[in-house]
Parts: sequence; C-alpha cells; structure tokens
Amino acid sequence: MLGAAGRILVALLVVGAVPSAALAQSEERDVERLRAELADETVTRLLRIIDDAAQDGVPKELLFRKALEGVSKGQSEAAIIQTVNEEARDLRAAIRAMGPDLGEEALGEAARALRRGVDPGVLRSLARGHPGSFSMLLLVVEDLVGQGVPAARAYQVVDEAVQQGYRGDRILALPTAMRQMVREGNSPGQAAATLQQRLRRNQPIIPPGIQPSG
Amino acid sequence: MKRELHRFLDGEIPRESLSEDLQNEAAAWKALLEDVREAGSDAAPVGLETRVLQSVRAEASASGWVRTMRWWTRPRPLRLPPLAGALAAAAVVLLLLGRQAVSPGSNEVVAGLNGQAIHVQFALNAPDASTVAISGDFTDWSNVGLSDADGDGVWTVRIPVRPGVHEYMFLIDGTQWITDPNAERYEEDGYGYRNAIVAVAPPTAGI
Repeated sequence: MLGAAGRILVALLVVGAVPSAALAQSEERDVERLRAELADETVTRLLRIIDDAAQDGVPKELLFRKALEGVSKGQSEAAIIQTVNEEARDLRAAIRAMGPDLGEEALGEAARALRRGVDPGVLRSLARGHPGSFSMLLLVVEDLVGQGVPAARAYQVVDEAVQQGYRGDRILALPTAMRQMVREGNSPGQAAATLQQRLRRNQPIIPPGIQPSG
Repeated sequence: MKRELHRFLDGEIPRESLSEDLQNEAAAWKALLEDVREAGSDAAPVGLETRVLQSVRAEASASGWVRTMRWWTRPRPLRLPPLAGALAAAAVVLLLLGRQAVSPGSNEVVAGLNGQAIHVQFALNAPDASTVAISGDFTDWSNVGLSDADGDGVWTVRIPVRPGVHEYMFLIDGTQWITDPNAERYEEDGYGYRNAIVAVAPPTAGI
C-alpha cells in the first residue's frame, strides 16, 4: 500500500503525462488525415519538413495545421509541400527574432506579423511587456501599422490602452477609432497621437455622438 | 447600432429592405436575442429538487469504486512528514522542467487559464447556395456545416472557439471557397486564397 507521499507522487506523474499523451494522439490523428488524402511519398516529405523544423523549435502542430488547410482546400500536393516549407521558414525566422520561449499560438502570430513587415523590436517589446495577451495586442498593432501608423507609435498606443485598463473588445476597438479619426481628416500619425492622448486622459476614444462605422 | 437595424429588430421594416451587410448583422442579433430570451428565467429548473434528493440518496449507496474516487477528489486534511513534502515539491519542479523541454514558453499557461471556449456565431449571406460550410484553424480545417432553417439565404452556425486570433473560410456547395466579406481582417493563406481573421477576446479579465 502506498503512503501519502507515494500517492502524491503517482498523482503528479499522471498529471504530467496527460498533456504529452494528448499531443502525441493529436499528431497521430493529423498524420492519419494526411495519409488518407495524400500520396505516401508526399506525406513522407511533409513529415521530414515538419521534423526538421521541430528540431529548430518550431511547434509541429502549426505545420500540420497548414498542411491540413491545403488538403481541406483541395490544393495540389506540390503546393502543400511548398506552402508548408514556407511556413516552416517563417516560423524559424520568428523564433530567431523572438527567442525560443514564445508559446505556439503567439509564435504563429509573430511569424504573420513579420511577414507583414512589423518591426521585430516592437514584437519583442510586446512579448516582454504583455506576454499573456501577445496575440490579441499584436493584431491591434498590425492593424494600426496597416493604417499607416509607425510601428513604434502603434505599440505606444496599445501599451497606453493596456495601462488604462483596456481589455478584450475595448482593445479590439482601437483600430476602429483610428479609422474614424483618419476619415475625419487626420493623418495616421496625428490620429495615433490623438488616440494616445485620449487614452492617457481617460477620455472616450471615440467622442460621444459619433457613430463608429467599422 | 444602425438605425435601419433597430427598426428591423423592432419589427417596423422587413428584412429585405436591409443591405446585405445589415442582413448578416441582423441574423447575428436575432440569434443573440433568442439566446437571451431562452436563458431569461431565474426560477429553479423543473425537477431540480428531485435531482438533489436523488444525489443525496446516491451518496449513501455509492459503490466501492465511487467511494475510492471520492477519497481522491474530496478535500481532506493530510498529515505529511516534512521529508515527504520536500519530495513532492522536488517532483513538481522536475515535472515542470521536463514539460518545458517538450513545449517551451510561458504563454501556454496563460492560454490554459484563458482557454475556455466562447461560442462565436458565423454568418454568410448566400441565397443561391445549396450547402455552406466553414473551415478554420478552430475546426482543424475540417468542414462544419452552416444552416439556413428559415430559408432566407443567411446561413449561420455557432462554434466554440478559444480566445485568440483565428483564421477561417467558407465553402459553398462543397467546391467554392469564399472569404468572409464581413470580416474585419484578412490574411493570405499561402495557397492563393485570403483567410478571414476573427479575434475572440476572453469574456472577462485578460485581453
């Protein structure tokens, strides 16, 4: 019969083993789906690409997902191999820029942002300053950059919003407020500065009486 | 909310008088209002008292297996020698180090804390479609069918999605991939299409 300490150790070992087992099962399911749709040779090539990337720290799940997306969309096997290869390259670049400690989803978002030309320094600030909300904040930064705001200023706006207690949907409303101000005739830089000022003064980001319209 | 949408929801104007965008938005609002209506009662559910009494009786006559499980799961004072406590703490540290090697990063813990799924309603106005499906990273790129129960051409589905940023597309009649025209953000998918992006914010704290 196990003593109390033994029971605790067994319970801890079981708890630790569950996520690894789930991960392996999920990978197995992904491989099965690929085998059901693609030639053996293609699956072998894909697995080689995925395993090589994993050795550099790229989460396999992101690459399996990209391959399955291609299968689902009826893409040719050559296109799937090429796209998974490109995704692996972008994810490696994201790891080089951000370091190895970013979580799986956040790494995917970082790769996308780098593709869009967001400055790696801004990405690192975001990851360091707001590790738990990186993906959501990055989306907003990307959106502001897409509207013509310099990346560093976009980061300041988002950072200010977080400091003022903005969360969830309120954070996601920042780009809408920006668009509104640009429509009113402000340059993206001016609009971002005004937005930051309103946030700092705890004023509504869209003045009362104005109907936000996307 | 737009004035026309208000008027439609108040029953003042027919749905057809709305623009395509507003029709989609109207479908989403209608579904939301139905949910609110369904969840509106504060009274205890019918049969609650019976179920409570049954569970009290079940407690008394539980099998050996059930009693063992309860022993494991019910909080109880536990007396441990300090050495056993130290061993358990060391095991926790070893486990955490081992798991980091498999999957680096502290964000996963945050994702776990915020990881509860939120039901998101997707809608597409496709009056000529025979079938509409959605496929995205939150479905592992498997197709999930939308329905158009009232035949108004607006297809909808509600899917549990974890908070975060997600990509998806619609599939019409099993052959035609369509980018959601109402999405706020898009991303090239590497296969020549544009995925729509949906950002799902956690319901309460967090971002």
